[in-house]
Amino acid sequence: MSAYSSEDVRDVEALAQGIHRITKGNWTVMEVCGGQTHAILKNGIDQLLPPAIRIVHGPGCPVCVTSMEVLDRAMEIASRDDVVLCTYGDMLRVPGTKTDLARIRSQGGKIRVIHSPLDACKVASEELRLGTGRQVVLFAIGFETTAPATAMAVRAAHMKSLPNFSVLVSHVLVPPALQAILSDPDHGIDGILAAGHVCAITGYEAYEGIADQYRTPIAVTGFSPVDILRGMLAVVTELESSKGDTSRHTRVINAYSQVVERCGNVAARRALDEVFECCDQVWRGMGTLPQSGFKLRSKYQALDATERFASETSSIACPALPTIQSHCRAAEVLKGKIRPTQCEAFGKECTPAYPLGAPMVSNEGACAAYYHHQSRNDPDVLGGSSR
Amino acid sequence: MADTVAADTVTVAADLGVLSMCLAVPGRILSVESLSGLRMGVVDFGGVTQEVCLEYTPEAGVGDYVIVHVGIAISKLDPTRAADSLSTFQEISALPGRP
Ligand code: SF4
Repeated sequence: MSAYSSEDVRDVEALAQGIHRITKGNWTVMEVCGGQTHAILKNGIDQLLPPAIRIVHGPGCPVCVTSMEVLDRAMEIASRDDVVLCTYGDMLRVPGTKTDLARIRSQGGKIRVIHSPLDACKVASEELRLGTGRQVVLFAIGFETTAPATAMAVRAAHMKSLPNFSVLVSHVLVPPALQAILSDPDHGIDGILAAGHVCAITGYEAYEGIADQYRTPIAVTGFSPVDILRGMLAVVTELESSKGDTSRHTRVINAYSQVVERCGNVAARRALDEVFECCDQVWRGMGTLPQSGFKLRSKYQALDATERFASETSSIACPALPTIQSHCRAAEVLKGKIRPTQCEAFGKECTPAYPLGAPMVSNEGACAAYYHHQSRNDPDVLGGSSR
Repeated sequence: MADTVAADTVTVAADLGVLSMCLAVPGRILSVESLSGLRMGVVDFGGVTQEVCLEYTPEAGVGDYVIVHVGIAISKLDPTRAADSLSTFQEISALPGRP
């Protein structure tokens, strides 16, 4: 933990001790954020907790839950000669039905890695200025944290009347996914750490209903080891103190109050509401969840890439992916049913260099996080494992 | 306080790569300007500066810390609220022990 100050180390120790002191029951706590998955494994936070507390990882990696259908759509669009597809670097190696974006790029597909949706607007302006005649498509994925940035790009393109800009929207919303997980009678989850930066946008009113309905306490949690342990302490405190008391209201605790307010970010929510409306959405590994995604409102319909490129005219032939993904257990990993190390392919056929499934591609994916960090915490899970 | 938070998250961000999707990083606003109708600013992330859209944090000005995700500030970091949660943490010592 060299990057952390001695104050942080002291706080981590005090929080871990606090958790040890109050824990009496056996509790399974799910986090739903790729950044937290990574931070937990990197810092060995799971090792600091009492053995009675088990952390499981939910569908917190946006790259991992992006549906095959929309990925295939993006690849079709990126295969056109007259298109520049702008997206995040993590998307390039996620396997679709037949191929991935990286392969399309190596065959001449014009794919630009962006750091912000606003970059896609800049690319569109530039293509326009140069008179290339190319269309620029923003492949917009991500949770509620990222959707306001997409909304900003849509508004900017609309304001500037950029004729060559469109967006392939595939945003997903966390609360419906939590609801889907908790409605499974065998979910086995006692408490939830909610992703702090998602809540920075949305606030946590929606989580209050879920906590109460499923009697599952939720702590809004940040990303540093101190933040994560503070969230964990809040959830365990709630679990221990409400044990056996069925009359009690199950709460959401804001353990990341320096960043998150109950109502979220009002300006960003307003922009989301202006640009998008909720729709049913397909999640990779979880199926179609009602009202769990965004689509453009009719005012911005003209910027919808799905409509603009309705007729498929792929001009780049692409080599197919060599591997079949039949043993990939991503669906169970994403629901917290198994740990990545319980997948037979983990660390053998499936590695970050040759990923079989999305959770091994993205650094935020649970399989990649275990691959990179678990070796240090638990040496027998990697490579040489005979299981 | 804000600086430690920044250091923490920047470390995680560096591990995940700049393209990390759900991670957001705190930085300090150095300047604010209007660029083609958008409120933009230059933000310092522990020595690396970047242009950031400040439309969603109208209350944040020069010197404030904001949490930035894919080029957009999503929240103004409020160190006083952080101090609040740290003091709740001091209540840990008052937690009940094992029976
Ligand atoms: S280890 Fe690979 S094959 Fe197994 S679930 Fe994860 S991504 Fe799929």
